[in-house]
Formats: sequence, structure tokens, C-alpha cells
Amino acid sequence: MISVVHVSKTYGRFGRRTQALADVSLEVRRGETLGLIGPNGAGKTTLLSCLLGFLRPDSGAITVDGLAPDDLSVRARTGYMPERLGFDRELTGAAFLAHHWRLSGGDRSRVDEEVRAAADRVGLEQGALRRRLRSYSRGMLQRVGVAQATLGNPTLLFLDEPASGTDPLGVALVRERILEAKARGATIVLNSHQLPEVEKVCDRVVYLDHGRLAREETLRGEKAEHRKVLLRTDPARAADAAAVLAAAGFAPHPEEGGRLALGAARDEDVARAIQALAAAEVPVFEARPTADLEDLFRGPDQTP
Amino acid sequence: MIEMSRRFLRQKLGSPATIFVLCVLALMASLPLNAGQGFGSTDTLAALILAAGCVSRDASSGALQMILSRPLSRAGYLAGRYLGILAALLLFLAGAIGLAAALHAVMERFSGGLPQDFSLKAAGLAAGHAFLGGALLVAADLCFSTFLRGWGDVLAVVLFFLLFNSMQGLGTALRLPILAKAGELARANLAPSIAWEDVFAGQDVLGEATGRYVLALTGYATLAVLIFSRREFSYGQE
Repeated sequence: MISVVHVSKTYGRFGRRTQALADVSLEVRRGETLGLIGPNGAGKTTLLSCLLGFLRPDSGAITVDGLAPDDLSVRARTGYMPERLGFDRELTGAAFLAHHWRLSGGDRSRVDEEVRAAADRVGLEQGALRRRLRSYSRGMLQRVGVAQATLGNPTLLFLDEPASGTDPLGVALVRERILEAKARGATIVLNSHQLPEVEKVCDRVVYLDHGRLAREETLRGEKAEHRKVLLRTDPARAADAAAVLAAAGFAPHPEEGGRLALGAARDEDVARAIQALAAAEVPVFEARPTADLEDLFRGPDQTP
Repeated sequence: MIEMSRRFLRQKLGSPATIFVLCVLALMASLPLNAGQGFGSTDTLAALILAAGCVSRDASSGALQMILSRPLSRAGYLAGRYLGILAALLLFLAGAIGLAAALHAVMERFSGGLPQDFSLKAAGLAAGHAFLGGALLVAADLCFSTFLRGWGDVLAVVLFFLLFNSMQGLGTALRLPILAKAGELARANLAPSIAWEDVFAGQDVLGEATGRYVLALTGYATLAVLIFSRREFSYGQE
């Protein structure tokens, strides 16, 4: 478990001080995927740097399973992908991945096999692995970054904007790798501005604003209060659908295009709503869960 | 640590500009070596070029943060960089000697038996001298590179050595004996001059001068580790 207790961090000195984090407290449970969201300059990267032990908080404490974040035993099971991909441009993709495999303490006799597997996982071809990183496009650097972060299947994964600047395929690929890590029980901290992606992979999000933890939302499980489901029906029968759902005990909100927004935290509620509509012979074309993180971003006063 | 040394060598060997400059320096070194005059100042230049920005460039590119997220201590990282630079310096010295030997062979063949001052033994001794001097210089540079940006470490090392080398002369010229004495002490302790030929010959191996050398080297390395282990790294701030 990652524990952050009353952490504050200030940059600068002699009167030009900027408060990057102010009394932030949170916990990330083992196997949980936590999303850090917030506007630019909110302190997300500073928090991530503190979690990795690159920065030391001015006050408060951070522990990972009771140990300091820069403890070598913690790092032995950590994978990290930075936002800025300015690493070792003189190395080939294969040399870069092999270097990180060896640095992570991986078995040297398996280095080629692991590099190939890591490259396959992110769709990097063998030809690309032989090229120097300086010849890589932004999307390829992003892929090799994800490959190095997931080398050796780390149980702690810190990802800083892992899919920024990539094409839709790259975004899907990053999502798949995160879900894969999640499925094997890794604890993941994801800093991203891509709210739909955050919504798809995170169990919980924290919203940082001006260095403060402004809001926290659970997106999965029993405590997921903010989650809703968008049901798309025949626009001509939207009123019937609303009536059927109201009779079944739901409070649907009509939206444009025949959609109905339904406050339903649990999958069982969604199934019950669809069953009720089917019984009334109202067609359901699509049921899409959403947490409307944009609303969270805007804050309660700015929600349209 | 060994992985970090390998990475340093791969970085340097993968940089055509660095290889070109080192080749030119090796060629320049082969001339005084062939005349039995050691490496000239090429060894110092090579050490500075190899060590320039060795930590700061990693920090500013973001590579350092990625490395430090791995199970490698900061002292281990520094030690790896240091050993990598020394290994590269050793390669440079060996290359220069090889070039000097080739030049000697060519000159001997075409000069019709003119006397040459080149000998492998003398060149080896000169390389030993240059390597140990370089080791001290690189340790000082590494220390500066832990907290200065870009190539600021090279500038700092040059100014640092220039400062205490000129303090003694300045103190004498200004008739300030304290300044002259401080300069003398600084030079003796921070950049000790050692007759390595004697040490290699087994004389005064555990003498005062070698003691000062070891102390200075340990001092620079310890200071580098202390500064580096206290430093914070956030790529957003670099």
C-alpha cells in the first residue's frame, strides 16, 4: 500500500516560493489503479516525483508498504514511465530495453528473450529495435517507454502521461498494457489528462488543484457514487424508456440523441435497467458506463 | 554499477562527435609520445571531454530519473559513471600509444634509421601518470557535475584548479604571505603533484604525496556522493 500523509512541497527560495503540494493525504491500496487528474500546474507530477523518491516532501511522509519510496527493495518492483521521453537517444531500442532489464536486476541470460517479449507487447517491430532511439517518432518513443516500464512485470507502476501524443492505436495499446498489469494485481498510479482513458482503467481518481487534493471519486465497485450509465434507445421512444425506468425505481435524465443518463453505480443495476426496458420492448442500442470526469474537472459550480 | 559503466561507454562510443575529437586528440598525443615527452596536455583534455556533463546531462534529459527508479543506489550510479569515464580514458591512452607506436614504425622505416625517442615502456609509464592524474581530475569534475547544469562542471573544474594554482603567485606578487600559503596548501592537498615515475619504480609508494593524492580523490568522491544523495530531481524543474 502507498501511503501519503500530510505531504507538502514548495519550490524556489528567497521570496519566490511556489507551493506545489499542500497537505496532501491519500492512500493507494494494493492492486488499485489510481488516477491523478487536475489542471496543468496542479502538482500531479510533483506528487508522482515524491512517490518515486525523486523529490523529498518539506513535511509529511510517504511510504510504500511501510518503506521509504527510494528503498531499493521498493524500486526492485517499480516500473516508471516519465512524461518527457528524452532518454539515451544514442542507444538502439534493443540496447535501451536490455539496459533497463539488467538495471532492474533481471536474469542476464534471459535479456534477449525479455526484450523481444517487451517489444512485442507494445507492437514494436524487430527492425525498429535495431534503430537508435533518436530516429524514433514520438509514438514509438512512447511505446518503448511503456515497454521499459513494464519490463519484468513490476507490481508498482507509475505512469506519467503514458499515451500523450500517440495515435488512437497507441492509446489503445497503452490501455491494454495498463489493464494487463492491473489484472495481475499491480498497484498503478496514473497521471493523465486523457479523461476517457483514466475512466476506462482507474478504480479511483483524485483531483488535484493548486497543490491541494480537491476531490476524490471512486469509479468502480460499491462506493462508485459518481458513476452513471448512458443508455441509447430509439429517440422516438425515449419518453417511454424514461417512464419504464422510473417505474423500475431509477431516476433517468434525458440527454440529446435519445440517450438517458442513469445513476447506476453497480453492474447489477445496469442489468436490471436493461431487463426492464427489454420487457417493455423498448430497444437498447448501447449501454456505456461513464464517470463524467469532465464534471469533476469543472467542479460543481461550473457543471453546465 | 557495471551496467552504468557499460552504458557510459556505449554512450560515448555511439557518439560520432566524441569519437572524432578523441581520435584527433590521440593523434595529437602520438607526436609528443613519439618524442618521449608524454601526452602533452591531451590526456587532461580527453579526461575533461569524457567527464563533461556526465551527471547533469542525464538529469536534464530525464534519463537519470528513469535510472533512479531502478534498484540502483545513487552512490552506485556515480561509481558506475566514474568507472565508465576511467575505462574510456584508459581506451584513449591505449589508442594514443598504439598510434604513437604505428607512427614510430613508419618513421623508423622511412627516416633511414634516425634516432627515435619512443619506447613502449616510457609510453606505458606516461600513460600510468596520465591515468592517475585523470582519475583525480574526473573525480573533481564528477563532484561539480552533481549540482551544476550542462557543461558547468568543466568550467568549474578549470576555474577551481586555476584559482588555487594562481593563489600562490598572486600572494607573492601582492606580498600577501597568507594568500601564498593558502594557495600552496590548496595545491598540495587538492591537486597534489606526485612523481609517479618514482612511485612506479617502488620508491615512496606510501609517502606523503601519495597519501595526499588518495585523500584528495576520496574527498572529491565522498563530496560527490554526499551532494548527489541529497539532490532532488524533478524533470519538470530541470
